[in-house]
Amino acid sequence: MAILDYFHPLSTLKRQRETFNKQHQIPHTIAGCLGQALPALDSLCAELTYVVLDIETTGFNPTQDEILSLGWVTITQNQIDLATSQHVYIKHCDKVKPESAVINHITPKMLANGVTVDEAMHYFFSHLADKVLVAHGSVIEAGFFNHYARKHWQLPTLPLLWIDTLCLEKHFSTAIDHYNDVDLTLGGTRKRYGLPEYNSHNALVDALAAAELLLAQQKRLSRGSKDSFGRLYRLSQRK
Amino acid sequence: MDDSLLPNVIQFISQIDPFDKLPKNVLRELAQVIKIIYVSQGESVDLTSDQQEKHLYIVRSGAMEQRKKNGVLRARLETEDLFGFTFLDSDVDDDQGYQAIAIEHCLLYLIPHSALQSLFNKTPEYAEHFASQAQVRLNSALDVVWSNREKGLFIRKVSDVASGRVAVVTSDMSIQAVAHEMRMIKRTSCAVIYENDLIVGLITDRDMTKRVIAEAYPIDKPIKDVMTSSPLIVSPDDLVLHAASLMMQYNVRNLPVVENNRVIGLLTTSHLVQNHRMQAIFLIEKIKYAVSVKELVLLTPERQAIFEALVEGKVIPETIGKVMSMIFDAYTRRLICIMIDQLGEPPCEFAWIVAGSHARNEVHSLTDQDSAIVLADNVTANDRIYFKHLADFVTQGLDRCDYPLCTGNYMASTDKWCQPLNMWQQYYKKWVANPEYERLLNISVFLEIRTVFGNANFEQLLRQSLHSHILANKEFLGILVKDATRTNPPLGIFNSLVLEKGGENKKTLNIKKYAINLIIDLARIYALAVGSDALHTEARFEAANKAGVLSDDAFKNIMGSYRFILTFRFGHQLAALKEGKLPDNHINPDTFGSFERKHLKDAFRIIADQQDAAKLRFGSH
Repeated sequence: MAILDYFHPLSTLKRQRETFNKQHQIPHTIAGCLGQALPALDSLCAELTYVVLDIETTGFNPTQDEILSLGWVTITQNQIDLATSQHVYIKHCDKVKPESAVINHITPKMLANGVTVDEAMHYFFSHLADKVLVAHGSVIEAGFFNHYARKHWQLPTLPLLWIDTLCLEKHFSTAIDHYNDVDLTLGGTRKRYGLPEYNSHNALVDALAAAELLLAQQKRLSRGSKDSFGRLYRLSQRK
Repeated sequence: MDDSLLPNVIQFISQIDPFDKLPKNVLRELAQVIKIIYVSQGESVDLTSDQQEKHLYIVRSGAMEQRKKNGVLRARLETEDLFGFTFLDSDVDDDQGYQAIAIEHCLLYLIPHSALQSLFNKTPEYAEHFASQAQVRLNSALDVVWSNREKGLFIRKVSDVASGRVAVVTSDMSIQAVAHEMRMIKRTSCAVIYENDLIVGLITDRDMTKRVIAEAYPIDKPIKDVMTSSPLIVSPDDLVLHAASLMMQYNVRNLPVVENNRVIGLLTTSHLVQNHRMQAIFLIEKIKYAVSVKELVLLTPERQAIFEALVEGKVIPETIGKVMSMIFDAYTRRLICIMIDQLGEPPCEFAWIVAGSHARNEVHSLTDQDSAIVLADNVTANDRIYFKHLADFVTQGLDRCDYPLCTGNYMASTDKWCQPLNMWQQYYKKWVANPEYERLLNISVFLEIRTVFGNANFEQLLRQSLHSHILANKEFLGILVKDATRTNPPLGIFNSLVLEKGGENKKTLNIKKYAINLIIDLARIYALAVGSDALHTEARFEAANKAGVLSDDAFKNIMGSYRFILTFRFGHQLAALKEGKLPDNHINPDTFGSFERKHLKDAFRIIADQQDAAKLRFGSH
């Protein structure tokens, strides 16, 4: 491996994950996700599968606030597949032990009525094997997941593979203009790409909105040629 | 899944015909199988590939264009438009060979054909909505090259768009006083200048910068020293399209709006571009800034849209021909410049010359390339390689922009037509001295020449030698007449057949061969007879009329016929374009109304009369 590849953020994450998996007992819920091999640096963006996630919360502080709902949709071969879209509401009155979430099979009826946060976590992570996680401003989603892992499993920061459309946009826009503040919100960014304005907002709609944005950003990144995932991941790191 | 599943997707498709006729639960099911893709500008969606599953496409945002294999524009699609539905109609298989190209970044929803088919199998009545949709779409899609709203702009009147803010001054006012009037009083970029109650000039703030400040011209001098004399004007009732054509043709940005010699407003380019769709009309500007063949190719639909708008706006054929020629010129010049940028400065002087209808400024939607290069006599064998590259690049580039290659190879890329001046002079000498069949054909192509790029002096020298050779050979004009009158117009149209003089009946009328070319040939003969340099057919008849060779009556008649036939052909080409067909010159008489029938018959008779007159006057007896 070339020395530069060794310091590539994706290689760093790979080493973090190996250490993490060795040092900790990995709960069943995230075993499939953390057990997967990370994409190679030179794998093509278009060949990977992405799960684009948005969560609705009562606030931005994971230690005080609660997740209200999760929405996600999958991108395969540059196509957003609406058949994969999921929208999970969380109810907070019931106390259910994490173990029971593993046992319970989630039914559509339960999704409509709301599930426990444990059930939701288990359900979401069961969709993540061999996929790349995407969010707009993934620091929020990651924060809530890490808090959950610390609280329920006594685990440190989870070595999850995130692509952040907000960080990508920051890279693009600072490349053009260092001085002016650019509107990096999901709505503002979509507007610049000529993507339609969505009036209703919920976790799933915003997840779809971020997924469409990722497609547009990948087109911008590749400009006709096929881009490597390593490049996408590097640009997606926070500056 | 609950009801809030992707409300934005379901809400969007539920308002689109024919999805609006489906019940909510069916829509929800369909929404489940939608795939979403993003295509960037210039990217195409392959509709013909057999490997992937076929889809019905819905444009969610952006704009697409459907083009046939030969590049003819089929439809322009915007948000809420559908394509890829032809599969629903078993009679139509011409989706084969269609290409859908994004002209803006697009978000597309894809519904798999299989999902629709299984829906129709379950509930056949839904299929009907889609079937009729397919029919309607096929027809309506064809005329949305520009939507009616956009077209509406073109046929609006100047008075609807122009502003009332214009300064009116007199020619003896000082430059400074005029500037004060423009900036401080009227706050406008333009002043109209009167002298003795007549409009004599125009001045703009750009002129002030260019002609006063840059030249350090004293500002106490009268404005008439620096004004543009005899400015172009428009009337408030003129179509916006007409005004925009003038702006393109003369490259001006300001047109005073004048009614009964009174200035009532000002039309500027910014009035037109305020609505961004109107920018299409500034195609020539866009051509000037294109940096590659690829970028030029992308402008083809706009060119076609302008042609269609001109024809539909009933603009006179002469203007249509001129505007389309200017656009053709712009493409040619731009391609030459792009190649010079790559190859370096040309090693010797040259002229890029166009011939035939392009030279006559009579370009229409079928015009192919007729071009030549005239090189300086000091050109070396090595230099010629440079021009060979240049000519190949330009002719191939034009071909990609839908200006077809000339089937007779009358193009600069043919060695024979890329020669030094003295060789060209010998060509003309030979052709005029011995106008046999082959040479007659050559000369009829190169009788009309116009410089598009390079040293225009070569063209003048060639024309001078042509005229002197023609004067020297008295028989030449007679031979030209004999050739031009070998073909006669049809006698008329009876029972859906075109009756020709030889008694032979044809099912279609070749309007080019049996009418337009005959008039063009006559005009050329008259122009040569009176030694006129005019190229445009109408200008040639005018020259002959002024010289007393063509009577006023005959002049009026032949001009009327010419305009009628050209308008008739433009209409025919437009109809073909709208049906997604390649426009041609063959017209089926079944499509004529009695009005056209009668007028065509008159036009044919006038042409035949003029042919006889020309034979009498110039013919070799």
